[in-house]
Amino acid sequence: MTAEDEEALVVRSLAGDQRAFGELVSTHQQVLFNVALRMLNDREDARDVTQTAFLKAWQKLHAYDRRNRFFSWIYRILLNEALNTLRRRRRLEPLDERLASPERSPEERAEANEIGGIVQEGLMELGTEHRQVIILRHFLHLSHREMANLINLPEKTVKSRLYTGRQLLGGILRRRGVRPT
Amino acid sequence: MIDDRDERLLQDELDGVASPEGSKRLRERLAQSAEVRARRQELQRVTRALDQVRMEEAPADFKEGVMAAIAAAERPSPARAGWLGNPGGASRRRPALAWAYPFLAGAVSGGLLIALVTGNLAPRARTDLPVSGAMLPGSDRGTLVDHRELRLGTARVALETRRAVDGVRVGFDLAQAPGAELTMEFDIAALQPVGLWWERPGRQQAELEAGTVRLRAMEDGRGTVLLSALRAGDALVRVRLHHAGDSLEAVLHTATVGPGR
Repeated sequence: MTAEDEEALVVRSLAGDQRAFGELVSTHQQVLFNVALRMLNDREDARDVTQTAFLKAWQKLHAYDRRNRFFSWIYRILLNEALNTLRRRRRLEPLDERLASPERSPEERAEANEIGGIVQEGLMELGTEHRQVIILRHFLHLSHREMANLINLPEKTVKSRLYTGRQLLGGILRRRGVRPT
Repeated sequence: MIDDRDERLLQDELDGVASPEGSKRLRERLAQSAEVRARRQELQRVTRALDQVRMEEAPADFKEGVMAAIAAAERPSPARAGWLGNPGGASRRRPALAWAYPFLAGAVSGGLLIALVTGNLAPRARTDLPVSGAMLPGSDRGTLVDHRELRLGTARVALETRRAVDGVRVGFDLAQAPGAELTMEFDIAALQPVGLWWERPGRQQAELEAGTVRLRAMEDGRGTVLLSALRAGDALVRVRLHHAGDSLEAVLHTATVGPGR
């Protein structure tokens, strides 16, 4: 979808056209859902957070600055919602319980091609700042500049967080039995 | 020994942003240092592992859920947000109102709150007058379902029903109707009164019972009756305006979605 198409949908949505907003939902739901899923490691939480982000976007659309891309705006809404969910979760349960895998050792899981699950668990061990930039770079394939614009930070800071995040994740994966191939 | 410069060169290469000079320097360092080669291998391992995490589809009914939530929660206009949708918030902004909502909401369980109803309630011919309802304040929660205006002599009352996630909101605006009585009746199996909020508390009286809400105003006033939906369906709210010995009726739809959704 071009920026012009997206702006037209936003304008129609501002006029109360729910079908137009539905098209914005269709366009962005998968990416936003996956960001939430990787931030939260829970499909139900990710669904709730993403739906809440869309609902808030609809309700606050009059406050959206159309000089920016719609995705950038709703991404920030989503991220705030995800961080709020993580804060609530920290109060409710220890992280170790969520990460526990009682049935098999990390090495056994790695050998059983469960790398994806181990990586997700490793992401959850990172702080949210490092997790976020890794998600943006490796799952959304954004450039450093795009990431900097999206999260409103200097490009240098984004690169630094990304590099540190990869270093930390590398250590976590090594501990969890993911060997170099 | 790996220094910060090596690390930056390795990560820039990984992200495809290394300059020609940086690439040349990295090739030299890789040739010289086993540590740099090992570090590069580790970074490549991280990248390959991340590549194995697949994008997942959003749940099949995801969009449907979003659109249902949007339909149930009207977007507020910036200038009028928060009046109808958040009576508690309104009372915080205006402490003088603080008594009204909890007091009247508490009356639900107690049944009769204030019984000061007098006059002849016999209905006259029923009349529905379509109006815009624009004089009613906006809502930041709930979708407009129906609206009516009743005129009886000089008295005028505008009414609207809004569907919200927690039930139905009936907004009313009484004008030039001193001593007028406004009665709302509904099926007790479908709707239950849970509260009443006056925008401007003054010389008004209210009575909330199962199946009936009765309001009496000695001066202009507007507010909202909050009804919880006990079942799905389009429960009707029958409204009767009584003023100066005459009365007028109207029926408003609620299109309530019930507590199950």
